[in-house]
Amino acid sequence: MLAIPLFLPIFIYLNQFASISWGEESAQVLARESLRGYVQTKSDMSGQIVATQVIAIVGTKLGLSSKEIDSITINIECSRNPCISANSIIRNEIRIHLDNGRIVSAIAQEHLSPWL
Amino acid sequence: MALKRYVKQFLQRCGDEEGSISLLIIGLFIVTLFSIMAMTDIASIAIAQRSLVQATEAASQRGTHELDLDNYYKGKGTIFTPLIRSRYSAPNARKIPINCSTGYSEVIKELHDWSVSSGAQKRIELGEITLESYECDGYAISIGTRVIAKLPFVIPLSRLAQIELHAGVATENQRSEGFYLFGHRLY
Repeated sequence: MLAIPLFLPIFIYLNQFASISWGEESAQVLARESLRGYVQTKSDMSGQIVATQVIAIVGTKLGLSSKEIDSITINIECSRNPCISANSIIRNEIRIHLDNGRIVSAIAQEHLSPWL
Repeated sequence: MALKRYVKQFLQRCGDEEGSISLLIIGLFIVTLFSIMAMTDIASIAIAQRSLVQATEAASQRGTHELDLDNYYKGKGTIFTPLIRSRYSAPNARKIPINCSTGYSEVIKELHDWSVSSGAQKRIELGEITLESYECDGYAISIGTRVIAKLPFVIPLSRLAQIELHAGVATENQRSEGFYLFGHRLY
C-alpha cells in the first residue's frame, strides 16, 4: 500500500506521454496529407475545401474523436499569392485540441512545381 | 552431515516469510523507471522517423519538378501527336523526363529547408538531415536520407544517447490520362 504513491507519478506520466505521442503523430499525418490534398487542387479556395475534407476523413481513420476533429485549425502560409501558383512554397500548420486538454501541432511543407 | 544440515537450514530460511519488502519495492521501482525511459525513447524515435520520412518525401517530390526540357520537347509534334501517343505509345510514354542534375540541387535545398525548420515541422530530436544516396534514371528519383536523432533519455545501463535514422523514398511524375492539345486538356 505504501508503494502505490511511489508508482502513481509514473502512471500519470505514462498516460500523458502516450496521449501526446499519439496526438503528435496524428497531427504530423494530418498536416502532410491535408497539404497533399491542397496542392493537388487548381485554386486556393478548392484547396481549402479539400484540405478540410482530408482532415475529416483521415482524422476519423486515425481514431480522433469528432470533438477533436472539430477543434482542428489549419493555417496555410504561402510564399506567393495565390498559393497554388508556380514555384510557391506552402506551409501547413495543424493544431489539434486533444480531449485531455493538451494542444499538439505539426507543420508540413510542400514546394510546388514551376510548371503549373 | 554438514551438507544435510546446510540444506535443512536453507529450506527453513526459504519457508520463513518474515522480512522487509522495501528492497523488492525499490528494485521494482527502478526496473519500472528504466522501462519508462526506454519506452519514452522508442516512442520519440518512432515520431522522429515519421518526421524524417515526410522531409524525404517532400525533397524527392521537389526533385521531380525539374523537367528535362530537351528530352521533353524532343521530336516534332503535330496536331495528331497527342492522339497517336495516347493510343500507340510505349507503356512509359506517360512518364515525364527529369533533369537529374538540377533535381539533385533541389533535393538538397529542400532537405536544408527542413533541417533549419522549427520544431513543429521537424522533430526537435533530429539533427541535420543529410542526403545519403541519390539515384535518378531520367524518369524517377530515388533518394535515401540519414539523420542523427538524440534520445530524450540515455538508455539505462548503456551509453546510447543518439540513434541514426534512415529513410528512402522514390518518386516519378506521370502525365494525367486524357487528350491534350497545345497544353490544354480537352477531356
